Amino acid sequence: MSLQLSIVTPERTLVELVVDSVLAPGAEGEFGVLPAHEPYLTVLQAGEVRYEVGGQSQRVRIGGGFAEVTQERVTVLATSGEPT
Amino acid sequence: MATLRDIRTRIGSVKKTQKITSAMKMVSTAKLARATHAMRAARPYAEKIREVLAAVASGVETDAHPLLSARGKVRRLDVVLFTSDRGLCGAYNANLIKHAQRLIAARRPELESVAIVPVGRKGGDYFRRHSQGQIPRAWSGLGTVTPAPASEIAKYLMQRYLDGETDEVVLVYSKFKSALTQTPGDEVLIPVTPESAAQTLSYETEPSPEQLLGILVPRAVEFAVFRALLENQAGEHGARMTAMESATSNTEELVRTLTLDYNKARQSAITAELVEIVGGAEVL
Repeated sequence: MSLQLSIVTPERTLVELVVDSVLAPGAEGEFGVLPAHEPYLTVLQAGEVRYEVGGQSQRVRIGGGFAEVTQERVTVLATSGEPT
Repeated sequence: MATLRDIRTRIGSVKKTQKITSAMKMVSTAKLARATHAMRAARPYAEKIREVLAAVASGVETDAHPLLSARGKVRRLDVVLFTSDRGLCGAYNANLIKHAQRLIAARRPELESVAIVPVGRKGGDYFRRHSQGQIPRAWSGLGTVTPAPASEIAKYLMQRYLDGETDEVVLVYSKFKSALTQTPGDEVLIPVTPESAAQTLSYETEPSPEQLLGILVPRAVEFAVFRALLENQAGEHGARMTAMESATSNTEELVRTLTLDYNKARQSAITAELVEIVGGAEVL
């Protein structure tokens, strides 16, 4: 089972790809997402979203926002952001 | 009859105008491309925030957030009019102003007062001259659209709504259809009406849905203003491109007729000279 990650800001789409896992800075602490996570909606703090693709870890800095997690998708609505 | 020299100067000046209009057209074309790109880039965010808002709002009461609940009777209306800062873009601004006026006229009977919040210099100039309501605040000279001024405008409008200075906020802006067509349109910014959720996923939320809504709704309003600004920017460049295109072809037409006049005048001058010479020769 795969996990589709999209990180979008009002100005552009930062990430749109299939990943193995995601770590995001939730309002009440960082949380991790693996495929088949239960549906989850949360506020994000400013920080880094980290994700793993084929054993490699990548990072994207965001300026707060929201995350929507479903079984096969993670959507990050960031107010601003940039790849690091 | 204009002299040869007059016509020649005229042709020269028309050609210079043509250089300007065609340069402006090319600049607008480039800016339009950038503006439509920005608009496209905002689309995924737009779709997503709409979905998330619908999903969260479907789970809670509509009066869970003050920006979601409509006032029973709208007495005071805020009209946010988006126009461009600069002219030379055909009927673009005139159409937007006309649309706003029609909207105000249609709703006037049920209202106690109307406030106009112009974003863009042209709309502000117009309504300052033709007062039809108070102008509590105006924005202009925003330049290339970025999220920051959009948030500022949105925060101001939300504050007015929360303070009870207005019962409804309507945006009037140009809906971008294509480079050639921009139609002025309006949409209600506040109160926010979330769409009904497509699928009823029961989300685990953090913090509670009510608190989440408290952050999500203002974001959605800020983004709606940002999107209106983007569409307006694209519309402005599209309108200017079309206007300059037709101005350029008008100058071409003008140069053609003036050249014709010039040649006619030249021909008749030569004929007159010949007649004189022939007349002079006959006398001899």
